[in-house]
Amino acid sequence: MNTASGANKKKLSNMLFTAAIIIVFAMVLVMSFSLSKTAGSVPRLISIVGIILSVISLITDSKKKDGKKEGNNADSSENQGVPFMKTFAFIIAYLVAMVVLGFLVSTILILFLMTILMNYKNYKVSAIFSVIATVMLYASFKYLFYVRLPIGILFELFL
Amino acid sequence: MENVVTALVNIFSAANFMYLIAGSVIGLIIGVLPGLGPTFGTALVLPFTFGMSPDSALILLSAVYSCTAYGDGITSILLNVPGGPGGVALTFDGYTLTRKGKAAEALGALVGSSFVGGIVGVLALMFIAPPMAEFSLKIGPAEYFMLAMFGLSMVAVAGKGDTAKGLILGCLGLLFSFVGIDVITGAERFTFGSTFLEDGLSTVSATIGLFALSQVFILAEEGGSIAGEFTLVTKPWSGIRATIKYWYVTLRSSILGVSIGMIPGIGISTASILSYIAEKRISKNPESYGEGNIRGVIAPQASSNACVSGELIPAFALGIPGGATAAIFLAAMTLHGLRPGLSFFSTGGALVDTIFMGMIMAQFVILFFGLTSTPLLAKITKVPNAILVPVIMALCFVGAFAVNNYIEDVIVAIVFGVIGYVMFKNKWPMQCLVLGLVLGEIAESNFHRAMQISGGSYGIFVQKPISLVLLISIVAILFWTYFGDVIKAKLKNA
Repeated sequence: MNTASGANKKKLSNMLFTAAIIIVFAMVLVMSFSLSKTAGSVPRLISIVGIILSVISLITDSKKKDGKKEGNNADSSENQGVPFMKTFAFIIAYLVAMVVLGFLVSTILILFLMTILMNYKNYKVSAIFSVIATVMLYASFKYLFYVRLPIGILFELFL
Repeated sequence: MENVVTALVNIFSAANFMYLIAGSVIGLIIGVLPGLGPTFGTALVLPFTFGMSPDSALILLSAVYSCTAYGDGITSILLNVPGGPGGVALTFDGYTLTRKGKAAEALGALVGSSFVGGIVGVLALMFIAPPMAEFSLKIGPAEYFMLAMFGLSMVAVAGKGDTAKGLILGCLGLLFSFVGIDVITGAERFTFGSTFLEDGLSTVSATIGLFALSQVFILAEEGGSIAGEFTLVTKPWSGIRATIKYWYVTLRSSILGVSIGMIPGIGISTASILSYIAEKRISKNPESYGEGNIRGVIAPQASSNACVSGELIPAFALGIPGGATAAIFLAAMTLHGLRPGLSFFSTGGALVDTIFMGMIMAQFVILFFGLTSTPLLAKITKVPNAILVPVIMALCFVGAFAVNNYIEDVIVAIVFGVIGYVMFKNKWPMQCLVLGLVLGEIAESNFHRAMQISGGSYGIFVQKPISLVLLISIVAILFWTYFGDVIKAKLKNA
């Protein structure tokens, strides 16, 4: 029962992804008409080919029998880690924090919070790890590879 | 000869030698982490190379690339968990040997065959790429367009069992490559008025997202640690003798690996599995394969490590990448002002030899590390994902930001990370998207140039012999990919 529902879920997710790709192709196709003949011809051709292939794929996927083939590894929801949406929210939070607080502060914070989010119980180790890893990253990128890292809007105001 | 001496001096300069060792260690660490293969490794390290000289950058990338391909095999043998795409075939006999208490022999064979495969691959790169680059002078826009299309048609093969999905992603990659200012007309395309998008989507940010950031989602979701409850058994000082005893297996698998690597879109997973199958078919005792035959370790590993350099041959010579990792190499070359093709070999001087020497040295580093540090490396798989995931995430962010010092590049990486995650979950062939992204500009600009030369006639693509041969090959590949199984089934029934 679980395997079949997992397979259905996977089939649905596959079809939704294909549908999203069709929308992208369709958008490009529409936009290509506002371009000159030279600039728009290749994107137009590619998007038409893409739509045709995606529709074929969508039909083939919809005809696949439920629970068959995909059933073997159907369920990844048995994983005990952090769900996709939580990780995604964390990544967005890291992005915002990096813009506002800069690389150093945001990375120390995010590394610490992420290890806690992932059920790492030893807070002391987590805190020490966050600081050491961030400083090592900062030092290697800044002084070894000469990469400028974001200072953060807040610190820019004061510096 | 002067160039070779200069190259050797360059290699043993403090900075380059440090990058060689650092790249090897990073490659080995990434290699032993299951699921994280050479493409992940090179994508992650690429931003580190921005401040380096071109030779240092390519030495670092080569070391990471080669050592990841070797490291992939360690967990395949010890844990039955492929470390990356090239490690699948190693689980067949490698893990069986471990279960029989012969992990040491298997690991020794892994090191030996990696070394030989790697050396054969680099020698092939050194001797095949320059004449191939000279051949590039004979080809014009029509042929280049067809070469790019040939590379794209191989995405159908790379789609492995799901040709349509491979082609869809190839098309999508092409469309992503069109974002920005058109090189022919100068018109803005699909930029939505954003000045950031005028320069196009950064291949580096996109690959960091697809191959590295997507793993953040996956590893976070899995939780625990990569090795789980497995017990690690590691005594790497044996098995080298087996590689020497079966030298012919090592050599022919290496040659097969180079040949497969040169064909765009196929990659090391196919190379290692095909070598395994080939050895099994040739063998007088095919039934011993899967039961712990040491040749079942030697063949796939020699092939996959040789394939690493094979993929770089068309990339260095023609600017057409053999796979996703070679595409990252191309991006690195462009970033450092190097232009693939004849000019790279004719004007590159000592730089070219330094890169080749660096790649050879990377094989010796594999041999050294393989024989001394395998037990330590295997322990990395016990590091909790709670520690690994945040570090990978931070590296991806810094890596994407370092491309142009724009936060928008990080956003591009996040978008591609989500796309990569969805593709991974639905088993879509990600490498096809990257091939489309890299080949898009080459294909389109050469198409327009060919049309300008021919005065708007499509005949130019069939009038030139090389172009015609490539066109026929493309049609044959697509036809066989779509209808091959049907034809085979009908022939079997007949």
